[in-house]
Amino acid sequence: MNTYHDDLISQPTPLIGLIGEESQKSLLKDSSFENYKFLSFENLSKLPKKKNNIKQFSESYQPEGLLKTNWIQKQLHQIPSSFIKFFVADDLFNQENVVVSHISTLFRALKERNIKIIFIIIVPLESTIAKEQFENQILTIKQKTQFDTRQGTFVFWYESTPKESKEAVLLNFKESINRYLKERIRKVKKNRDFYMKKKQASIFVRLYFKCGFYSEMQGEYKASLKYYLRSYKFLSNISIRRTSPTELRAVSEVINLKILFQYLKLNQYSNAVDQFQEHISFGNSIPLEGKDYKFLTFVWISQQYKMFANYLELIPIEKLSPIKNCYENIGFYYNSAANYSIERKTIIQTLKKKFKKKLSKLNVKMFQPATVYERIYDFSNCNYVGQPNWVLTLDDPLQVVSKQTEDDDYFRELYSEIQFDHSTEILDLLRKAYRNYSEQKPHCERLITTIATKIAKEYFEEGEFKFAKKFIDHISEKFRQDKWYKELSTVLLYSLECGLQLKNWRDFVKCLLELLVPKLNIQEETKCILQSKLISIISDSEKEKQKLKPHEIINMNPQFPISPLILFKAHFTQFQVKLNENIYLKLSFESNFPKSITFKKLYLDFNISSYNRMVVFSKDDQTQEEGDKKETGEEKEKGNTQEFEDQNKNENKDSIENDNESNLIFHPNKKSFFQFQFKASHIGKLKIRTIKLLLGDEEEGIYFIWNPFEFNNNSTLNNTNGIHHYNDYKKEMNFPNRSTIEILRPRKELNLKIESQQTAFVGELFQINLILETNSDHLMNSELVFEKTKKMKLYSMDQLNGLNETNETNETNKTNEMIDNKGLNEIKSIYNIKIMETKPQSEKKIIIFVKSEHEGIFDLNIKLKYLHKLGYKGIFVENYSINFTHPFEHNFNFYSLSKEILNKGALYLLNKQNFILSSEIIMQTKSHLILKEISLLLNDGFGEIIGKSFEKINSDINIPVENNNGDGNGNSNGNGNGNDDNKCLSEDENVNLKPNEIHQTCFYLKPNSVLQLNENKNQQKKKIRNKRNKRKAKKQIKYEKEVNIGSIILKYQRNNFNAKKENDKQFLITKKITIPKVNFVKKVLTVDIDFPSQGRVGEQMVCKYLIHNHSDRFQKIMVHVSHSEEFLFSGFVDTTFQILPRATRKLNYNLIPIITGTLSLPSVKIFDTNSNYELTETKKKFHIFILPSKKK
Amino acid sequence: MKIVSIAILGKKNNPLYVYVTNEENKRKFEYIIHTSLDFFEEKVPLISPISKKSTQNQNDMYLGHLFPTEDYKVYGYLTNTNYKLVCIIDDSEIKEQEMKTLLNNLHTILVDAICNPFYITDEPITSKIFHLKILDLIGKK
Repeated sequence: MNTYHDDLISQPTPLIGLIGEESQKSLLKDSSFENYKFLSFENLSKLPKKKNNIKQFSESYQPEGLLKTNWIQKQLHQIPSSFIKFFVADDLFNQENVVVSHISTLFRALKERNIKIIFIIIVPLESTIAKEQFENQILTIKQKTQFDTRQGTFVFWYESTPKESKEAVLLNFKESINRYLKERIRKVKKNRDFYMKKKQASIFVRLYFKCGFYSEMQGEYKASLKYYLRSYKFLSNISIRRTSPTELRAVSEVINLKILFQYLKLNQYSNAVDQFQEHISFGNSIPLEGKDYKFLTFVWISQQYKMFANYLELIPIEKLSPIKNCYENIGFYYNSAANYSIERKTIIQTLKKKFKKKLSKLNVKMFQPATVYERIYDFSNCNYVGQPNWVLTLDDPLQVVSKQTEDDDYFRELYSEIQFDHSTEILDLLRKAYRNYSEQKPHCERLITTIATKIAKEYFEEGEFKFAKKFIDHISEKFRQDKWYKELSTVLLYSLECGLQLKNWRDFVKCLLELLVPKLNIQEETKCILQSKLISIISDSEKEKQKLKPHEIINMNPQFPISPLILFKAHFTQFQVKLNENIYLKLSFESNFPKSITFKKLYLDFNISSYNRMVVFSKDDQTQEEGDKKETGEEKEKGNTQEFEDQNKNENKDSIENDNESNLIFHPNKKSFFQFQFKASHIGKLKIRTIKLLLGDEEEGIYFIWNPFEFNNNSTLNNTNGIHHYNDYKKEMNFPNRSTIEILRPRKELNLKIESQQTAFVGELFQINLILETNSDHLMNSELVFEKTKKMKLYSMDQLNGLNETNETNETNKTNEMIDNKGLNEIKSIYNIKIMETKPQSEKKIIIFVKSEHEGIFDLNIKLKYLHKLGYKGIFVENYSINFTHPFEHNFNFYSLSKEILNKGALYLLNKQNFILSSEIIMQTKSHLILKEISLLLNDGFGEIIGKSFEKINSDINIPVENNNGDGNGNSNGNGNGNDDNKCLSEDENVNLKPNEIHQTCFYLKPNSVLQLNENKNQQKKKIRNKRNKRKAKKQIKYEKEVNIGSIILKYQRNNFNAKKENDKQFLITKKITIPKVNFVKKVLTVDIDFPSQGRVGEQMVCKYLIHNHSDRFQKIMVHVSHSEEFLFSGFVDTTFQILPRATRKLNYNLIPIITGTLSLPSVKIFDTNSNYELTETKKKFHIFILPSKKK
Repeated sequence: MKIVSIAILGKKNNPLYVYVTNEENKRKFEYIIHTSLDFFEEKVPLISPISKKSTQNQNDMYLGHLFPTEDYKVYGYLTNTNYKLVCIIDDSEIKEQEMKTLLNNLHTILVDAICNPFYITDEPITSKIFHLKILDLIGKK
């Protein structure tokens, strides 16, 4: 608000003139009187002279201007609305004449002005004069002075009661001032009536303004608002011909300001907004004086917006809601003001260039005040508002330069406008707008961005590059986000210049590279220039370097900032390789640079530093490759031996393939391919950490860095497996990114071969040849560890520990010979064999022996531990299964002998008959062996051995004649006790068996009756049985199965014919062979008979015979029915048939009784043909009672 | 009503088509159009197009007067597929129905342009026919 004069923006306060001594005036220095302004008068000569009403009001009267500047000044600073004269109470009596003369003088002086005088009579505390005396004395004085109550009044100030006195004085002040101002308004209105509203609009503007001003001074804001609005309304009727646009705008601004303040007082903010809009449209409607005066319009409008924004800031925030609804934010007005200020500045800059010569010749260097606004509102130097006068301060400050020509006036205006600090003004407004919008919620980011763009531009134009850059960084991010690339490119061009001016190498390069991105709509020529600029700065051009002083390396992300300038893909052709195998890495680059660009170096950084590569492309296009020396140096410390390091270096001679003729020159929109090949030297996952392309020098260049972890590997990996051939994907750009490869350790680096058959004989030493094969040069110490098992014994030769030092051929010869028992050592715990050195591509043979007393398959666990030169330890475990068996096969055949039939394989023994069981052992050996002893061990209660045979191969089975008494011919005890005494062969009867020779042994066994066999079991079962499941239990006994007969024990000796000593043959091995179980069944066939209990003569009856086969074999049955004279019957008389296993056969006989009485049924005999056993009990007869026939 | 600028903004707020009658002030209008995105976001909270469909009818696509500038008024229209149509007119009085009809017609023209199989989604619209239709719409043809 500093632009305006205080008299305009502050509320006018009534002026009160003080006449008298200074000591008495001190009474009014109290807060109660702060609404009044006091002006001291020694005498009234200081008052401005009153103009005589010389002017005759007429319809043709036209004033020189609209608002007089000195009028406001007079009202506020020169002409009081009321006067005060102090008298001391005693003076009224003592100096009566003096008082009378003072009053008379004052009345005479102010008679024409209608200003009331308040005479304050001060009554001191010590005064003894009574009130009545005062009144009498005042009446006397009034008579003498011809006192006019309209002109003056007496007020008593009792020092004894100051509060009451003060109130009395204030009351008089108010009354006198109001009277004065009302009188002024009345007078103005009286004058108004003389004029025609349409023709003399300018006079109406002034008159209504005066009325408004007086009303405002009175504190009657509604009235003042009404007058000001009327005044403003008449502005539109003023002819432009007579009033200059500048004056019209200035006056409208003053009145508008007054109106806005009245609205502020009355809390009518929305009306204020409407008024402002109207004001702006009025200002815009005022035509310009000339074409080049346009800047004055912008000056005015920007000032209005600024003024209104300042005005709105006076309003409490909570009351701003109606304004927010209309124009959202105070920032809008600041922003608008800034926009017009920018226009103003642009025009001025254009005009400055246009009239550069004329302005230099103009001798108005020190015109004061410099700016248009200061001139307009500097009331001291102009008669009318908006009619500024020029004052020269250099030579003659007081000389008023009169208007000479229009041109001079224009150039003065222009010159003063040029002097104005536009940038400060613009930045101030924009900052305020920025602040207001930033505080707004919801946040309007883009609006802020737009304001920030203007601020940045303004800072840039002012050379404040640091601030400009700060704002540009903020703006560009938003444009990038919204993909407004056109605006972004504009902003970046500013940023580029900022970087150059600030010598900020990093920012400069980043902006420049972003500008080169294809998406940004910059002309191709500009892009080429920018690229050339970049190259020249990076290259050896010292001039360019001095401009920017690059001193640091810049890392560029390929995704920066919108789209990459170089499209990159990396691809390991394999998912995994083994150590020492070749790794193939394919790279492809596609340049989006506008021109061809050459890179100097290519760096490949991996997670394992020893793989790091740097490829230097020299000028003559010969590719050189260097390992990262620093990294390999570190590796040295970690490595095991120097020798290995040297080997590793030799292996790292990699190869690069490139299809471009000129290496690392990327042409626009053309693809370049590279293939790297190097050996896998470390185990683990190999990842590409970064790939860098160096543009420029190593110390101050630009690295384009790709981080492959950002690639979308997942989608591509699934689609590929196996190796991609270079030529395949060279054709298509779309080969997948794969930045990881797995390097596996070779499985067969050290191989353990086991050379031996997997079948060993029980009780014998079994030789195992272990062969260590080495496939790697990097192996060092190896160690074999055997884990001992309980069922096997391990033996090693004495010389085993020193195998490495002995001749291998001798070793193998030794093993082929007979093993000396004394030369073997039993391995009692885990046994380690250390092999100090393993030569590359060699074999080592180690022999161990295994022995087991048990039959079965046992695992021999061998651990192979080895040390690798690269620092890791290898362990792998081999499980070797050995099947320990006896050197023969055995088979059993059983024969059941009946009375007449020898049925091979019959396993069913009937309880009631004594059967003979024969068992047979057929032995077929795989080795030479001597049978020392064969014995039969029978289980308890089974039976007895009744005979034996021991025959060689192909001999017929000679079965002894059945002995029903059950006495065995052999050595058996016959009691079936199953003791070891059941030996059949004596020691002398040694049998030598050759391989594949069959030996046969037969035992003739007579089992006990089944009942006896099961007796013990039945007793136990009976105890368990409950009454409820009796029948069920019976069934179980009926079908008794699976009886263990016993086992045969063989004692044999392996016949090693090479053994020289007799003791060597003593490998006596015992083998217990369990005889297979046999089934015993109580009854094979049963018969059920079903017939009615009684019948009648002549009536048919059915008699059913059900024959059940309980066995698993076919059973042949023979049936015979004897003749009966008591019955007529039909059915089979003699028949033979077979019954299926587990099946039932039904035989029906139809009987018709002939006579009555208890009759026996015809006898039916059913025989089992195998055993000729009669199934039906012949002695048992079935009887039936036959009734006589029914009477008809 | 004097139309000074017509703009179509994509789903991701990127400019698809910007027409300005006065090429000298193109930059100024572009900033105004960019700023209008704030008011789109303010008027239509960030809701998914599907849920928006269910709650809003076709008439709601017209957002009306977005914001004023010193000299112009900015009107907005948000399609169901999140395309933003912006129309800038001079600061004169205008009937709301007129503007609604204009933006509805502009929407129809846009749909025709997008249906063109040669048009790549979210790329600037460069079709000459589309441009002629726009000129016809605003009476500049």
